[in-house]
Amino acid sequence: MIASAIRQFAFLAIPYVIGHAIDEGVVAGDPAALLRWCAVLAVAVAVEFGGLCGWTWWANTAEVKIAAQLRESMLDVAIGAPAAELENSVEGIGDLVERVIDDVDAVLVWVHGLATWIVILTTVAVLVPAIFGMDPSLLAVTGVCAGLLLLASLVFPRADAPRVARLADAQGHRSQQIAELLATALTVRGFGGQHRMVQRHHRSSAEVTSNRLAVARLRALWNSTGEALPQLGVAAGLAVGAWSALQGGLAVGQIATFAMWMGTVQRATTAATSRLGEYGAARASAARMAAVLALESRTGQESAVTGHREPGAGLALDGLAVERAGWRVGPVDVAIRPGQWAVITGPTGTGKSTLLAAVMGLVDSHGEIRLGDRHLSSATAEQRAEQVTLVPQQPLLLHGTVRDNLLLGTDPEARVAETDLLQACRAAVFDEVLDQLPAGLDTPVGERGAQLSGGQRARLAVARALLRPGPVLLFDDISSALDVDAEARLLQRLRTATPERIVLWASHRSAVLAAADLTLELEGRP
Amino acid sequence: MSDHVAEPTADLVLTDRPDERNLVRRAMPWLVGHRARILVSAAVTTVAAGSGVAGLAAIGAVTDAVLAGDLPGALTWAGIFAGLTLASWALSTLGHYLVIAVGERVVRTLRESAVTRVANADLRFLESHRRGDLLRRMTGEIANLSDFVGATLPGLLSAVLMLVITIALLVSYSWPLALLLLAVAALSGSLLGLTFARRASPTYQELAAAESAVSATIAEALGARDQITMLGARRRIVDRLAADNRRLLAARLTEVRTDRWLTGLGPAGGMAVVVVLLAAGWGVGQQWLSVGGAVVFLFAARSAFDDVESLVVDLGELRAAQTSLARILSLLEGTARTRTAGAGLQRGELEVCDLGFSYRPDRPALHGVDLRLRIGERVVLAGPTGSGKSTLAKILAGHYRPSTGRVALGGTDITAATEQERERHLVMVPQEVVLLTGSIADNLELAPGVTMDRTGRDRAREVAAQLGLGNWIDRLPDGLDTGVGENGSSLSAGERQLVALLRVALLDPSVLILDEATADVDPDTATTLEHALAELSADRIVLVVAHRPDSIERADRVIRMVDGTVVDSTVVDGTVVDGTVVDHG
Repeated sequence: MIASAIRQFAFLAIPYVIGHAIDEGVVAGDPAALLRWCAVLAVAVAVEFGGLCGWTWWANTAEVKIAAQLRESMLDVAIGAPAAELENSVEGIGDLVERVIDDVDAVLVWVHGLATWIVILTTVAVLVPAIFGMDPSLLAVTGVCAGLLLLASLVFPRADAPRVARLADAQGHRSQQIAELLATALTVRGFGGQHRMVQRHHRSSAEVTSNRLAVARLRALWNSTGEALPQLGVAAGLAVGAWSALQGGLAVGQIATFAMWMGTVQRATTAATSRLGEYGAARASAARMAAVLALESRTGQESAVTGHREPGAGLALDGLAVERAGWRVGPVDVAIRPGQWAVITGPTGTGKSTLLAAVMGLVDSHGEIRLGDRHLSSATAEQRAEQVTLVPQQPLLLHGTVRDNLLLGTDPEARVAETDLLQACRAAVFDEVLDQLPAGLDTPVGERGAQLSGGQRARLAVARALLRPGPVLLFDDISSALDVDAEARLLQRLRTATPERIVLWASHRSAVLAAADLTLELEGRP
Repeated sequence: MSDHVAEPTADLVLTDRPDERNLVRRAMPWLVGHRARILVSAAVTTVAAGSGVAGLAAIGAVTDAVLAGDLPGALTWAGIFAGLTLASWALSTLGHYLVIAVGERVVRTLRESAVTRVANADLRFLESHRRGDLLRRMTGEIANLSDFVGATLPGLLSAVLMLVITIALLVSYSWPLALLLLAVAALSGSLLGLTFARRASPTYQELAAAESAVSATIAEALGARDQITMLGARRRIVDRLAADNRRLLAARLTEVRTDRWLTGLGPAGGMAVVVVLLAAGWGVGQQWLSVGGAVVFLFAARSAFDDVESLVVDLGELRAAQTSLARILSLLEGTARTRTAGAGLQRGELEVCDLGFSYRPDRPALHGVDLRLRIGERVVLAGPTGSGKSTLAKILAGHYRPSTGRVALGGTDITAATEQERERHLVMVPQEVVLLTGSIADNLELAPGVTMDRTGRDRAREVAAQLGLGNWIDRLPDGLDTGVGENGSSLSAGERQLVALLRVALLDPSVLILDEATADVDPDTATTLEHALAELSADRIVLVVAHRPDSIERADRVIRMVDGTVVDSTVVDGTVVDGTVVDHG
């Protein structure tokens, strides 16, 4: 901000220095004075550029940092917020993404504009007394000119906006016609039907042209008026200045200074009006941003369960049931000790996955979920995640490498040894996949893990879950995409890898049922 | 079903990096029609720039008059300056508009030619390009060009003209000083401008990439909220966003550094003013320059560098517009077809002689096909998938040009006929029908010469009744005005075929080719349809590509294809031919 003020001050000083150089150097024919003023001018030019560099550098740095901070806290809050809270505040994930990306941008544009106000204020603060000092009537000329410019920059955009909107509509309509022409091409070519479609396109193409010209007519007038108004001001200034100069009040160089300042007046008024336009948009966006950030205070409040881990505690489900539209999954009662495997089984559609989701806290449930003597039912999603890890049927991978995805569930502070990663991969039978990947652990998995097959993604997700510290693992049908041999290896290695863990499966595979210590059979839907 | 997925061949495919050489010469055919307008708009813009520059001279004259103590002279010159400003205001408004108007007309010619050509392009061209790519060229690239014309071109043109005229004015005052200023401006302008231009492209690419990385991480993370919470990965994800943000910051600061080369024109202009001041001071002292002349030089030096700055930006836009133009021109050139005078295609026998066709040079799809289809005949083309049935059908319909051999209708080679003649005589219905979003009537109206006024509707209903489709039309909620949904999606595949068949029944071609065109229609309706289509005109050849035994049963003749050639033509004359036997040869 200071840099912008310095820059503008130097910028305004340049015409003043030039004016003096003309008067004292050129007109008076004094080479020493000319050299002196030229040196001052060179300094002013250097200061102006330095100020400009500082302004853009610091303004951009500040802007990106503010955006980063806003986005990071919004993302943090939005991920952590309970689903119900989020649903109240935003309309779907798309809306949330829009708030974090587009609304932050809109606010930043406004923040960016703040420095321009400093520039405008500096301009007014310097020019008003300076021009008044030359001749009060010149200030009157400037005032009238600035007023007209302000009027122009208020009137033209208002008339422009609807024309631009109509042009965009016409262009959109034309694009649609082309999309349809291409979609139907192979069909309509069979009987020469493309001609009618081309005619339709040409009609909307004519529409585009007439709208484009409507925009052009206004813009042409807007453009040249913006340039002509300060020039007319200069003309009036020349007349006033000439008269004043011949009365001995004004020097020739000052007339030149005034003419150069008129250009600045034009820029300042244009900037001021466009800043005013941004303000409204920024305010709406700021409100949308604030709604997301406000979620934070609520998420921090609940703290029923501490992160402390109790060795030897078992998982108990007491009358766990989930209400579905018109029917109920469960109730289920079971107690699983560390080192034990339990499996929920039953026909497709009986609610196996739903029960795992209930233990994870992803769906509302009745009954009790206890880990030792702590009640998980009242814990927040994050606190529960410290104890329980779910591998869903279709696990999501994030873009990045295999390693990035494995480390996703680990403590960012702790360094995870390479051997631990490989061990987890081996236990999940992902080592076989790893051997075939071009760059091993550092192979990119693509957008949503698209470079891997469904079975490979499932095994990577199991390895990722094994790296989590929590005592409870929930495996939702993770072996369904594996052949019988791979499944057998997976079960055997997982057994060895989970001596102290509580493992709850949802599966109907016979090998899983055979490997489990406890079986919960769900009945079919009534 | 199409037997072949068309493989792109080198000469047909448009690339992302089109040839940008000789753009002006290549664009010439689209400019010649607008010559007069181009000249007028250039002239008006030149006069507008001229009166703007003349204003500068008026400022100098005012200065000299003041120094001479000549008040009436000074006021007169101030008045002249005001007059010139008003003239420049009016003329530049007009010039600005005229430049856009003529530019938009040229762009309109380009886009309409592109659409016309693509719509009529060789079918192989359409099949070998992704629809998205063609769409982008005809919409996005055209919009780029149109925006350039609307927003950049008038300013660019007037900036260039202003520079030229200013230089001329300065030379008239003092050529050594003008040369000095020109040298300083050209040197610093080209040094700074070129450095900026060289750095701009990688800088802006990285900035765009960094911005989209931030957006992608946010969108991905918010979409995977549940799993991130389950894995306790919130911190890691926020850290990941922080890393993306750091990259964005670096990219932005690189942008700031790159932009400095452009904004550096400001201080360069300032230094030029210093040089001009010193030289002018000397010049006035030596009496070869008036103070007014010095003032003119100072104003010119200041505005010249502003102009250079906008010129560099505009030239960047010009580069982008050139790429867009090259993409559009390569589309136009790729779809250009040689006009034929017309061969007077006549109804008659369809004769195929030693026909060959290949999608790829090493593998012929069809070879040595000889056929003779007689008027009034209903012929079924059968054979296993991949044997070349659809390819043959497309050649007979005139959509593909045969690689070797010839197809003649009534003794005339169909490739010698005009597009219009071919369309009138040879009509084909494909299996997969894509309809126009709109009503059934809208779709029928696509057929050449068909209108949906009262008589047209009566005729459509009458023909529908003849085809056995009267009941179907009556059951539709709004009859012929029933909407078909987006590209026909609210109709079933079979219903879409009915619309397509009704549409061609309104025409009167010499050859009607149905490529599995009743495959999704129930067998009873299909029987009625195929009969009716043959009955509607007794002097017509109907060729049906079919798999279904019942379609084959009804044929006057069955032609069997195996491995790209006709192996056997059996005249059945009422004798039942077993479809499965035909299918597996």
